[in-house]
Order: sequence, then C-alpha cells, then structure tokens
Amino acid sequence: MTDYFWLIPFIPALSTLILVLFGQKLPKKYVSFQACFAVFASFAISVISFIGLLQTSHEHLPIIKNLFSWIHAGSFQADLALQLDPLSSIMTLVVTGVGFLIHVYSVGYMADDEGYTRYFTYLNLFTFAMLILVMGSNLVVMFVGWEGVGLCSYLLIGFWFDKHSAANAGKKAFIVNRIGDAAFLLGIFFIFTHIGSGEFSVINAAIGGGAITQGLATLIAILLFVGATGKSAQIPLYIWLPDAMEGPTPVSALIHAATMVTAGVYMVARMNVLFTFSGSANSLVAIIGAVTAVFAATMALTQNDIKRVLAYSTISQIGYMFIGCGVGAYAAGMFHLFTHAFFKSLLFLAAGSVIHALSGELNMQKMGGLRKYLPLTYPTFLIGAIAIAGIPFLSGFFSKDAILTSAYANGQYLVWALGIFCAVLTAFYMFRLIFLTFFGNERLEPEAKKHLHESPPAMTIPLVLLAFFSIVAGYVGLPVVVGKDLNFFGRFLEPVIHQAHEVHLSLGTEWMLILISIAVAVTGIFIAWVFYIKNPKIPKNIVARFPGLYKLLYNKYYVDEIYNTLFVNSTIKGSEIVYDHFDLKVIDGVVNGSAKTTNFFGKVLSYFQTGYIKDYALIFLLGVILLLGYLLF
Amino acid sequence: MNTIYALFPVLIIVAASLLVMILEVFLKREDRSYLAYISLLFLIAAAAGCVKFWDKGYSYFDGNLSLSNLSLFFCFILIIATFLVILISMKYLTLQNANYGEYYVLLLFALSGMIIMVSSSDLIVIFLGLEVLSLSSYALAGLRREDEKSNEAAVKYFLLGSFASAFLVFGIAFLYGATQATAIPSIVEGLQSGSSFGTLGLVGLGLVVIGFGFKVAVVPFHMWTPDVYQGAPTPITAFFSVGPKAVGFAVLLRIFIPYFKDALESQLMFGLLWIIAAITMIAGNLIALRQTNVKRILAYSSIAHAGYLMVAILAQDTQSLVFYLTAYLFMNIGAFAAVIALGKKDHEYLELEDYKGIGFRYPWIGATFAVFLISLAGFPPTGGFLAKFYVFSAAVRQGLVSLVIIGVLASLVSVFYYLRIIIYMYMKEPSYDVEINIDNPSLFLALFLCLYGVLQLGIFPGNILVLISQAVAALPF
Repeated sequence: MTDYFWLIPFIPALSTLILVLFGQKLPKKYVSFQACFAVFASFAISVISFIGLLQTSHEHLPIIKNLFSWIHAGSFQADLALQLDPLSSIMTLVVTGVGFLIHVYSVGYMADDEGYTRYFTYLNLFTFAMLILVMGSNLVVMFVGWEGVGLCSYLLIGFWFDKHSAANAGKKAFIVNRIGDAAFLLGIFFIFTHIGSGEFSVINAAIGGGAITQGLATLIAILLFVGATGKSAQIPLYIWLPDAMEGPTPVSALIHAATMVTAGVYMVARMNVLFTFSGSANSLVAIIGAVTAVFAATMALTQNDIKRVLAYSTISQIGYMFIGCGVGAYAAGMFHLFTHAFFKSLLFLAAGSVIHALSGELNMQKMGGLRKYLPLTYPTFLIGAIAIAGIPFLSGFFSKDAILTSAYANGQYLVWALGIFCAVLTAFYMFRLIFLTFFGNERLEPEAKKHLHESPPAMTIPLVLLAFFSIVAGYVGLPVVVGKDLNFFGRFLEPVIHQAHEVHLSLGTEWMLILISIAVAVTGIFIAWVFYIKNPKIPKNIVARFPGLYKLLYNKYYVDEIYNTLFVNSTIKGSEIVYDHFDLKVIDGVVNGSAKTTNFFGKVLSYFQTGYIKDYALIFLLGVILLLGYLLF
Repeated sequence: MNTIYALFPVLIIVAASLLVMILEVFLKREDRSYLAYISLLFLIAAAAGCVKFWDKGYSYFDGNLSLSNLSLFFCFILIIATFLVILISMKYLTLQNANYGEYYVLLLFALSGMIIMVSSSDLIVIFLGLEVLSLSSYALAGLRREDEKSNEAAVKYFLLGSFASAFLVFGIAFLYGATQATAIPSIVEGLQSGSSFGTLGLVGLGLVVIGFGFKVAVVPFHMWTPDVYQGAPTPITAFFSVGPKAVGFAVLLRIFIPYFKDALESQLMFGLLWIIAAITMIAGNLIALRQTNVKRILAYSSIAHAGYLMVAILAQDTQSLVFYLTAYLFMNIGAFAAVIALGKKDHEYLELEDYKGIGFRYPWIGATFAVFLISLAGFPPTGGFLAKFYVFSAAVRQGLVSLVIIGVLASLVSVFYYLRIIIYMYMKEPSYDVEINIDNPSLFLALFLCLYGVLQLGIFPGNILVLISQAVAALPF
C-alpha cells in the first residue's frame, strides 16, 4: 500500500504547472476545483500510505523511492529521493489534511479577489514544496523544499502587493529567512565534509559509529538550529512572522501556523540523533524554545490586531515544540506540532471568518459582542481557544502536558517553570481575545455592522471539521496516568526517534504536574475574565500604573528597531562607505596624496578627458603595490 | 596525437570571420542579418568539431595547442556563449543603429582568441590569444560610435586593458627568469622544486594574477567593469561578463590548482588569492546594493561571481569551477537577454524605475528574467543554486570555513539587489508606459535556451557533471 507514496508531492506540482500555463484562461470554478482536488488526492494517498506504513515492520523502514540520481560526481552525491517513515508520514498527513481544509476555506474567503488563480497557483506550489521538504530522504532535497516554501511564503505574504506594508512584509520574511538558511547551508556543508553524505540514514549511522566528535556535532547542530530559528520564527529570527500577517488569512493559517513555520521542529526531530549526540546543542534548543515561548506570549498580551495576537501565539507555541525536542522528548514535540496544526489553523480560520464578517476589520477594540451574530464561528473559535489554553480533554492539553512532563522528568526545572508561566500567559491572552471579540458591548464601526453576516458554508464547514480534530487529536497520545501504552503517537514514531534514556516519574508526580498545568490554565482564563468581563477598568488602570512596561510590550521590546539600527542600516551604511569612500573618495585621496604620480598619469590621460580613468588606473596600481608588497614582505 | 586537426576549432572560427568580413562589402545594409546566420552556422560546425574530438587528445605545434577534454569543454561553452550573444544581438543591432558588419567579425575573432587561450598551456601562446581577444573587445565596446558612453567604455577598457596586459607580460618574463620555462606545467614544477629564484617566481605569479585578475574582474582590478559594462552595447556586455571571465579562470585554474597541491610552497599565493576572493565577494555585493541601473547591478554582480569562482580555485576543485562557469554562462547571458528584450528603436530601458510592473505587462519576459535573477541569487531548483552549493561545499571540504562563511553571507546580501529587480517587476505599479519591440524571434530563442540551460543544470545536472568529470580527468597534470 506504500507503493505510490512518492506521488504525494507531485499531484500538487502537476496542478501548479497546469495553473501556471493555462490558469488565466480557465474558469474560476474549475481552478478552485482542481487546486482543492489535487491536495485532496495527495491526502488520500497519504492516508493509504499511512495505513500501509502501520503494516510494515520496523526493519523495512524507511521506505525510500529514488526518483533519479541528481548530483553524482566524485565524492559529492545526492539523489532526488523521497522517503516514507513515521515522521514524514505524519507530516504529509498534516500538510495535505489541514492543507485541503484550508484550500476549501479559501474558495469562500478569496471568492471576490482579483488574483484568484494566482492565489491557488501559489497555494498548490507551496503544498508541493512543503511535501518535498518533509519527504526528502537527504538534506539537499530537504533544503530545496526548505527554500521553496520560503519563496512561496514570500509570494503569499506579498500577495496583496499593492499594499505597501504587504510588499515590505514579504521582503522582510524572505531576507530574515535567508539568514537562517545561510547557517543551515553551512551546517549541510559540514555534514557533507565530515560524513560524506546527506542521506539521513547514513548520517544517523555515521554518528552512531563515531564519525564526528561531540564538539563538531554541537557546531553542526547549532548551525542547523539557527536555520530552524529562521523558518520557525524563534529568537533571534522571529521578527518576520508578525509582519507576515499581511498575507491573506488562510495563508496565515496554512503557512504561518500549521505547516511551514513548524518545519524547523520537523528538521530538529529528523536530526534527533545528531542533537542528542551533541547534548549541549539540545540544551540550547530547550532554552531558546522556553525563552521564546514566554517572550512571545508577553508580546501577545498587549496586541490589538486579532491576527497578530495569533501570530505571537504561534511563535510561543513553537517555542513549546522546541522545548520538547530540546529535552529529548522529540515525540512530544512532534505531538504538539500535530495538535497545534489543528487548533491554530482553526483559530486563524475562525479569525478570518470574523474579519470577513466585519469587512476586513482587524482591530479587536472595534469588535465585541459578536457572539450572537456569528453562531458557528463563535463556538469553533472557543474550542480552539480552550484547546490552546490547555484545558483537559482537548488536544492541546495532552501535547503541552507531554512536553512539560518530559522537561520536568529530565531535570530541566527552569525550562519547566518557564513553560508553566507561559501557560498562564497563553490562557490569559487567548481569552482576552475571546472576551474582546465575542463578549462585552459592541464597539463596531457602523459601516461594518451593516454588512455583518456569518460566513458561507465553504468557510464554516472547514471550521467545524478542524474544531472536531482540535478536540479529538489529543487522544492518540494519552499520558501514562490514564493507562499504560496508550501513547500511540509516541510508539508510532519510535523507529525514527532514538530515545537515549527515558526517565519515569512516579504516578503521583505525574498527577501533580497535570494538576498544576490545569490550575495555571484556569487561572489564566479567570484573570482574563476578571480583566475584561467583570471589571474592564483594570487593564486601563494597569496601563496607567506601569506606562513604561506597557509601552515596552506594545512596541514589542523595540526589537525591530534595534535590528534595523544594528543590521539593516549598517549594511546600507557599509555599502555607502564602500561605494562612496572606496570607489570614489579614497581614489581622490590617493590622487591628491601622490602628486607626482597624478601628474605623470594626468599628462598621459588628461588628453582623453574622461576624468576617471586616471583614478581607475591608480587604484589598479595601488592594488599592484599592495599585492606585491604582500608577497615580498 | 599530433595532428593538424587540433587547429580545426580555431581555424573554422577564423575562416568564418574572414568570410563575414568579405561578404559584408557585398551585402546591402538591410541584408546584414545573413552575416549573423553564416556566423551561427560556422559556430555550429566548430561546436560539432569539439564534440567529435572528445577523448581524442589531438594536439599540434609541439603540444602548444592541445585539445584535451577540458579545453574542448571550455571551447564548447565559449562557442555556446558566442552563439547566444549573436542570437540576442541580431535585432538589437538594427534597433540601436549599430548594425555594422564588423560586429560579427570582431566577435568571432574574440572567440578565436579565447579558444587559443583555453587550448594552450604555454603562457606565451595564451598571451597571444589574450591579445586577440582584447583588441577585438576594445573595438566591440566602442561599437556604438555616436554614443558617448560607448566611446568612453572603449577608451577605458583599452587603456586599463593595456595596463593589465603589460603586467601580464612582465609576469611571464619574471616566471621565465625564475624557471626558464613558459609552459605552465614546467613553471609549476620549477616553482615547486624550490629553485633559488623563489622570490622572482613569486612576483611573476603575482603579476600574472594581476593580468588575469583584470580580465575576470576581481577587486581591486575591477574598476573598469561597471563603466565598460554600462557603456558597451548590451549584447557585448553579456559577452564580456561571460567570455573573458571563463577564459581567465580557465588559465588561473591551470596554474593554481597544480601549484596549490604543494601547500607549504604555495602558502603565500594561497593567502593572496584568499584575500582577493574575500574582498571581491564583499565589495562586489555591497556596491551592487547602491546601484539603480540594471546594467550596473549586473556588472557588480558579475564581480561578485568572480569572487565565488575564486573560492572554487582555492578549493582546488576544477569540477565545481567548471560547473559554476557553465551555469553562470546561462543565467548571466539570460539576464542580459531579458534586459535587451526590454528595448525599442533607439532606446533601452535600463533604469530600475523602468521595470515597474513589467512582470504583468510582459509576463514571459518578466518570468524568465525572474528565473535568471533567482538563479544568480542561488536559489533551488536552478543551476545557480547547485553551482554555489557545489563550490562552497568543496571549499568547506578543503577547510576554508571562514571564507565560505564570508561567501554565504555575501551571497545573502546579494539577495537584496536581485530581489529588488523582481520586486520592481512584480510589486510596483508602473508610473509610465514601457513600449518594447516584441518582434524579436532570435532573442526569444536565446531566452528560451538560457532558461532551459538554467533549469537543466539545476534539476538534471547528471549528464553535464559526468561530462565535466571526464573533462577534468583528462587534465594534463
């Protein structure tokens, strides 16, 4: 049943090709049908392959399909090969499953947009690139997908490029990602140099066989992780994700919540042998994850743009996933990725439905009391919020708990404490969002109120389905307290995730941890209720009491400004200096300084009156002198 | 094997240029396009010769001209480059009022010089070829006689070029003094055997680096590049950015890759080239950020690419160097072809402002240009990505980690200015109408061929890599 798994990425690719070539001539209805169908077909094959994988014994894993030998020259080899193993199988299910629902949702959301065909072309192209990323059997293929999703993300963020901010946001995302990619690429080079292959199986075997030292492993792992911080929006490269919200909302749901931004987590899980071997790289991952989680959550507290709250929340939740990976619980990290894909895309799509209902309003201060107008959006939104807040029996609770329990069990108490603190913040800002949007008095613009309506079925049906999965997805990985061996998710991943050592906590401790996380979630919600329902004056008082802190948070710690001054401006400055001073001025200096030479050349060259040739010749001569000077002295 | 067949590629190109020169007298001005067709035919014949002589190892003049596989491969890509340049020139010349018959003559002479350069391992013969190339180039740069910029370009190129040639000859003389040889293998052997003239040899090598450094445009011998590139007719700019660069590196690799085998002896030179590579990558990319003229952007970009190619020399990896040059040929000529496509009678659109909204107005030109820019920036799945990947990974294998970090960061900067053109094409509303001449089949053929080349090298590079590895295996050292 796994024979045709390699077709999964190529169906969206084919669809993209058709849309690129003939898209403008095809009717709108057909375009959306084809785009959705292509992803659905991929989803169907993913499901079949998944079932096939369940029946395959561990010795036959991973199943590799070598499409053709891509680069074969000397010691440098890479095949265009796809692989199916539990990890890639889960990712394909998420990408195509959630992707399909978002495609369907887009049919309704983008219905009146001029760039309808262009939109679906990009979306299919993205699906293709993302599938290549998760299915590649070596680092080079993975990198190709990695760059591909970056490119699509750029195209889709800047989709409404006539909006200046959108074009800029796209550029920012692209360039920040390139910084991470540069480090990622260096890491790949090191692996090729010291292991001689980019195939994951070979790398894992080589590390097991002691091909590289621990120090080198740490270096490589950190380089790869820097790549992950770019793609997955972690400190220090997270700044692009909030701006990326300029793109259409379904794109935010697909790319900037469910799939692409979690690619970094996938990559770290894929390279788990390396990270575990290094040890210190793992600690770094955990700490960066924990700090990012809290840092981003604090920024979410003060935002008024509904999508930006969700964007910071995504950064924060990915921080959790990295905590999981960093403490060695890769399966838990992947589990959170899995559940997060459902509830976060649900939240985004529901937010999109709200925005759609209000004719494009993003500011939560201008919403309120929408509960009764949006009878389907409201409950689904609420389910998403409960899931992410970590209330028991919904998916987010189980995955978050698995991560925090592992952190505690591995003795990373600081990381655990940060995680718990972040959980309070999460519950608070999510319910702040819910209360501001759906409760309280109506603060709508009169114009928006006139058109207020629930969204069409193409949009609400995906919401309902995602809400369903946000509830049940957690039950594939139940904690030990419920019963032994109920963590199907973890066991399924075992062939890929090489557990170094598993620490078991006593059942009492496990219960305690669970109760703590439930308590903090409830506390967070309660505070939000007090602040925004019971006594709406409190937030204003707090702002008045701590204006500095509020300003700091509201301006997102001024990180953008700092980066601008430090990096962007200095690069531009550097360019100016090199161009103005080196290419133009230094030469003048040399000319003035060495009158004799100038005269000599001046006589010869002034005849041509070009003005600059003498300078060029002089810099040439300067180069000669420096070069010979270097060689001789 | 010593046979006169070894002269075939050069002879056929020279014959073509002579024939074109004679025919020009008899042809009316509007029939000049026949000259282009004749040139193209002869180029195909020469290319067929290169294919036929593969693995034969023909040589003549006591081995002074020898068609090793590597030489043949270089010949072949140079012929392709010239072929593409002629395709993009045909309409351009009439549109820009530069339809002189000597255009093709000079182009073919330049090609013959380049073929001599890549098929010899004797510095004197190489110098001979270089001068044939250079003299034709100076004239080509100034071909638009009425255009001030074009004249300026020719004079600048000529003066600075002669300057560089003088250093080169000087260097060859020094090397002869140090090793009593002009053939590269003997020179390298002499230098490595540690003769008493060590310093003399070193200075000689340094001067040779200067001479070729000028041709391939590495910092600080790059000053001529932007002005000449901007002033020369655009197809000639495309030619300059590819042809001389390829031959320059073909010679540098013959000298330095065997020379670097002896790491201790070559330490100083290695350090020198390291510095040149680093500053070339940094300065080229940084300055390009400030440019607003597309031709100047591409000029600085070609300087930066010389830096990456230098990294390949330092990595002592002929294969990645040759692959890079091949990919660079297609993407760079392609980019210039796209620039040429945006032209009408007596006017070219060269400022960034002109490119606003081009992607929608002329979707095909915009899309192909975008692909070439993406390839120049080094994105998968294009040839430019693989080439860079290949060079940098070879460099890391040689332990040149800090240089690769500089290279990767520099190419990160390069994304800014390549992307900037794409942003102008796709994300800005045009503020005025850009009328172009669409009726230009040969140009579109060239665009298509370059696009094919870039994608073939990026997605299915297998066959070409096999070919290159054969070429490298037959290296005379």
